[in-house]
Amino acid sequence: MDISQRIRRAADYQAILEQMARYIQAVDRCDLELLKYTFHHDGVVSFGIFDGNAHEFCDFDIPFIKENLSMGAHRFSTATIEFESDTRAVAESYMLGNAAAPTPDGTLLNFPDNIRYLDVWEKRDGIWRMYSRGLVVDWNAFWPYSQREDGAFAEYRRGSRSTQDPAYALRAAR
Amino acid sequence: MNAITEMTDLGLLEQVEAKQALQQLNAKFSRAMDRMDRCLMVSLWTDDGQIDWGVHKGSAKPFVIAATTADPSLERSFHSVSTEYFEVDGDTAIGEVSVIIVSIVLENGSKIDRLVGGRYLDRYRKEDGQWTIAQRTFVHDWNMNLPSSANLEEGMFAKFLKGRRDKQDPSYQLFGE
Repeated sequence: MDISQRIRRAADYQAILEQMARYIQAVDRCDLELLKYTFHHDGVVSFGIFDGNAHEFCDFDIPFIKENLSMGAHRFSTATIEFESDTRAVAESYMLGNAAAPTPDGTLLNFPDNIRYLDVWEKRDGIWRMYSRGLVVDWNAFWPYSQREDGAFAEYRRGSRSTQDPAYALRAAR
Repeated sequence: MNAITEMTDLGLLEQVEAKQALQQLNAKFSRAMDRMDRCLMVSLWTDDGQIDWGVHKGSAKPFVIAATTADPSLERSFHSVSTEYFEVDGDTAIGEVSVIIVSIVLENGSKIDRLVGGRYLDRYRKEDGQWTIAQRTFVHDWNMNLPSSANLEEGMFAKFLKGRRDKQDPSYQLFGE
């Protein structure tokens, strides 16, 4: 590769990591528009609980999260990215999540999980988005819910599943 | 550390490429551990690679064999790395990388969720164009041991693909062997 191609490859690598981060932001903020931004319009997902068009998955997933989880926070890491060409890459990334969900009797459970995403990325019109994303579950656990809201905890800024989240104000202020 | 302003354009590009390659090297180490992929694991080390990983001290070769040999007491493993920090000097580099290792361990007939937090303190060498691990010290920072409460097969969870510590793992359909 010449210098120009090497600079572009380094920037492409960063662009894919950033889109992986946006996917996580979108899920945690329940931001449907941002979630769709990470997939091509003809993208597909193979998630077990939903296999099909990625944008239809987004329409399904955001209400699913709101209905079933009282809290959700995800964190991706450990991305292996292999370029097949200047416009296509395959990637695996690890995800460590924490969520809280009510059981049928109303008791909240803490529900951490480890999964991996298996992706095909394509650069079209200069933007890297997923053509496909699969999901593999590695581990989960069900722990007593022990979150506290009193004392110092009550003082922290809180995340929100909406554009009220402080991250939106940060971006808007640029 | 070199000040960025003192570096040539090519030197800067080489630094960025090296750091991206070292991040990939660490991700592949997780893949090799979690899939018990011996070919991949061997490819990540210099021939004279050294390790300090608890019971394994000295040449990395016995560790590489042990880590990629089926262990009936280790049902699942997940090495999530983050907070990657590297300093690159030509064809050598040092690094500090955080890892959270989550595993399901069989102990006295019971399944235990074992979470271990630690760091890799590394020396890397670039050989034949490939960054490899010359020395890795695993520093243990914390661990948690809880009765396993995983639900991988019931209800909604039956529908998901599950990870495996071998080449039947779904990731090989993406990456090939």
